[in-house]
Parts: sequence; C-alpha cells; structure tokens
Amino acid sequence: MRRYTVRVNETDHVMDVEELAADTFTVHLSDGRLVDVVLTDHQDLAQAVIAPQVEVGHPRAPAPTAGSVPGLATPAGPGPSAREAHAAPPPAETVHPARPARAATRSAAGARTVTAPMPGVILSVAVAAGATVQRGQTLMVLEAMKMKNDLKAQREGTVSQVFVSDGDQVKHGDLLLEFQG
Amino acid sequence: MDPSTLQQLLQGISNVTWQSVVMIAIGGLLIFLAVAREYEPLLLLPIGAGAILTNLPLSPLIGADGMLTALYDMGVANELFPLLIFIGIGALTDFGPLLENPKMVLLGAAGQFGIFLTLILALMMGFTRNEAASIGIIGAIDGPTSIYVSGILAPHLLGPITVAAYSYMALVPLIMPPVMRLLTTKKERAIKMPYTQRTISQRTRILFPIIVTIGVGTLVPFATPLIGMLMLGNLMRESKVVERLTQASSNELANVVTLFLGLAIGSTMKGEDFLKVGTLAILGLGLLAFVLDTATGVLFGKAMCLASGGKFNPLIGAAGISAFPMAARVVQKEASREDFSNFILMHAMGANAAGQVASVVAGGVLLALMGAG
Repeated sequence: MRRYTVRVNETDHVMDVEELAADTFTVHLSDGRLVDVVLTDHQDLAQAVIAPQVEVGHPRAPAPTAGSVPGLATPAGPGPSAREAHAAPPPAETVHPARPARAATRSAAGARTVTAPMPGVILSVAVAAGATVQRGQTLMVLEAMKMKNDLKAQREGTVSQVFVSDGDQVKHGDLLLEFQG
Repeated sequence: MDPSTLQQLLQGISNVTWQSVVMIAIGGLLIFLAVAREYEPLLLLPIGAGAILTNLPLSPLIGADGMLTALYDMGVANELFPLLIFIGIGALTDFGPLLENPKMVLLGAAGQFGIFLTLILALMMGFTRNEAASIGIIGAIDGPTSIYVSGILAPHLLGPITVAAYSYMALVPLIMPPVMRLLTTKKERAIKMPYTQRTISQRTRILFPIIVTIGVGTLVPFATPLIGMLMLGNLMRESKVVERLTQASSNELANVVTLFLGLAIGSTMKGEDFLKVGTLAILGLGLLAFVLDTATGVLFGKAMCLASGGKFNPLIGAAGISAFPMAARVVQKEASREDFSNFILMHAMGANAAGQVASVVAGGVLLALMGAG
C-alpha cells in the first residue's frame, strides 16, 4: 500500500493505493470511498497513452481527487460513465482535474523516468548522471530471456540519476533511470 | 609387380564416384556453414563430417561394424537419440512466459498448420503418405521431432529431412522477417502490448510438466515419448532438487548425444541415395512448410488482433513454432525495428514455448494419422 498526497487547487488530498496485482489497484480515497482501478496499458514513453479503467463505488459522485493521481483520471461532474476509459496526462507538475482527458492525449514532457519493460538483468549501463542524451540513444542494455535488448531514450534530455548498475536483476516496472525536469 | 597388387593398393582411387565427390563437397559446405556462418554449428558440423566420412571410397565407417553405422543403429534407428536430446531441451526451456500468458497456446497451435498444408502438397507431388508426412514435419522447425517422425515413417529420407530441418532452423532470422513484413502493416507491427509480470508459483511450475505429459499422452499416445522426455527435463529443472541431473541432461548428455546424432545422420547421406531429384523437392517443400507455418501464425495473430480490438501484435503469431528461443527473438527484433521502445519479447516467448509443445503434439498427430506403430 502506498500513500499519495496530492495538491489540487491548494487543497491536499490523501489517498492510499493498494496493489492487488500488477495491473489491479484499489484506491482508498480520504472520504472513505473505495475505487477499483484496472491498468490496461502502461508505458513510460513520451507518447504515453495511459488508459486505466476506473470503477467508482458511487458512479454519480464526482471524484476530483482521483484525477490528480498520475495515470488515474476520473471525469469531474456528470457526463461519461464511470466505466469509460480515460487517459491521463503523464505525470506532470500541474494537473487539471476538471478536464476529462481523452485517450489521445499525448505529451512530450512525460517520460521523466525509464522503467524496465520486462524482467531481466542489466548487462551494461551506457550513461551516467549528468549525461546529455539524444532521443534514440542507447541508455543501457537489458538481457531478458538470453536476448540483449537496447533500452533507448524516448526523449532528449539530461540524465539526473541512474538507479541500476551492471549485473542488477530487475523486475518489470522497476525504476532504472530518471531525467532532469 | 602383379597388376592385382597395384589394383589393391589403388582401390580407394578407383572407387571414387561422381556422387561421392559431390557429397564430400556438400559435407564441406555444411562444415563451412557451421564454421563461417555459425548456422547450428553443433549439428551441422558433425553432420558434414559424417557425410564426408561416409562418402570416402569404401569407407570402413559404414557397414556391418562401421562406427557410423553402429551409431545409427544405436540411437537413430530406434529413436533413442532424439528423445535423449529432448530431455536436455526440456531442462533448458522456461515455460514461465507461457504460464504467465496461457492464451499463447493458441498461437502454438496456429504455427503448425504449415505442416499439414505441406503434407497435402507433397502428396500431390507424388510422395507416398509416409514420405509426405515426414516432409511436412520439417515445418515444425524442430530437429529432434523431425528425426523422430521421419525415422519411423520414412527412414530413407532421414538425411535430407534432418539437413533441411536444421538448416532452416539456422535460417530463422533470414526466412521469417520477409514473410512477417509482407503480411502485416507498419501499424500492426508497432502495436504495443502491456506486460504484466505474474509470479508463477513453484507448485504450478512443477505441476505443469506432469499435467501436460498426462494430458497430451492420453490424447495423442504417439507423442508420449517426445512430450514425456521434454517434460521430464522440465520437471527436473523446475523441481530444483536434482540440479546435477538437470545440468547433466542439458550439458553432458545433450552434447554427447548431439555429436552421435550428427555423425549418424551424416552417415545416411550416401551419395547414391541423397543425390536425387527427390532431395531437392524435399528441401523445397521443407522451406515452403516453414514459410507457411510463419504465415499461418501471423495470420492467426492478425485474427487475435481483430478479436482484441487492435491490442494484439500479430507478429507474435510467427513465434508459435518450435525454434526456441530464436523465433521469439526474431519477433522482438521486427517489433523494435518499427519502434525501438516496443518490447513484446515476453509475449513472443510465451508463444514460442507453446510452439515447442505444439510441434511435438503435431508430430504425434502425424504418426497417428499415418497409422504408425
């Protein structure tokens, strides 16, 4: 269980996210409601399209707090049914909870982090903190199922931190590297 | 000097035939492919050497007490060697990606259609039923299964069928991509699939080989030897209590048997039997079987793409063959060629592991169809 505190319009909201499976979560909202969330897609890309299926306990109730969880957007106010899938803008500093983002939302500012696309072993890390990389540049090599896979930068930028080193075992979704800004 | 003495001394040279010269050249070509190109060197090198040794004039390695013939009788004629190799393959195969994604079984099945299409074509070309079935099995791209099936149905075709099966296995990265690109659009190849890592319990991993053996063995009795050995190897691997046996079967046993098997298969490549128009037809049909397998796999992948509303990358269908793990790697390469951030390797591995089981089942089904036994 992870506790997130997010600030929307100067108001702090606390929510607890319980990971039931790799793609199934239960979100406990501060007002006591439980929201079941199924993550149908997850990519740490510049072109990330994240479309969680949100099932709210009280379908009519607006849930502005949920909209501020990265990757979890529920529409504020009446309109689309609660079961409808929505895309949230990728994690960004400012979030607009009232905007019902549609699936086509694409943002270039998104991919601040690089995570492991599959389980494996980091064979080599090609960049260090402070390095400036171009889009498409190899960041590290991940060996999965005895195959070497180049993990390449989805965006250009400066590497702020590398979390793994040669020989590290990683699981799917593990944080590997972070960009500045 | 008595002219007959000279004749005796030179009998090697006087027994050189054009067929033996050609076969020695073919043996040399196989060794070249193994050394220079690293095409399945573990098998093609011994096969090439076996072919050369067999076709030397009056080779004492062939015949009643010849070493190569002894190897053939010891393990190929009675199907022992391919089965021993299967223990090693089972010990090396990780069925985890398949257990994480059980629907990939469907793709393993789809990847076997080429076998049956080729069988029909071979029948139309005038091969006997047993020969046609043995040629079709090349499409499984599964060396030991091909040897096993053709050893029972058409032992006289073992040489060309084995050479075809292993050569095409080596050519997976060359043969599959054009077919895959032809049948898919850029957009389809770029489809990303979410990967969810499920933890597969050790109990599941141990039960899997046992259940598959009992299930497949009951449904397709002819497949019992192959599936039984494959799953025995896997059971040893997953049980984690017989590490030494797992190591021995995937290293020492598999290596020794591979050497014996390669030499014995090479010894079947006797010039007079091998150099026939039929051999070329077999090589051609085998290639066709492989292409058809890839095509049906991709087409089935497209069907799954449609059924899932565009969430399934059809390239994965091509991995539903036995060449493990090469086929899955080729799928990953093709996907990342379109979009370097696309990783469908784990899905492809699931389909590939399913293909491994499915090709064994297909071999058993063929044997049952042909009424072997």
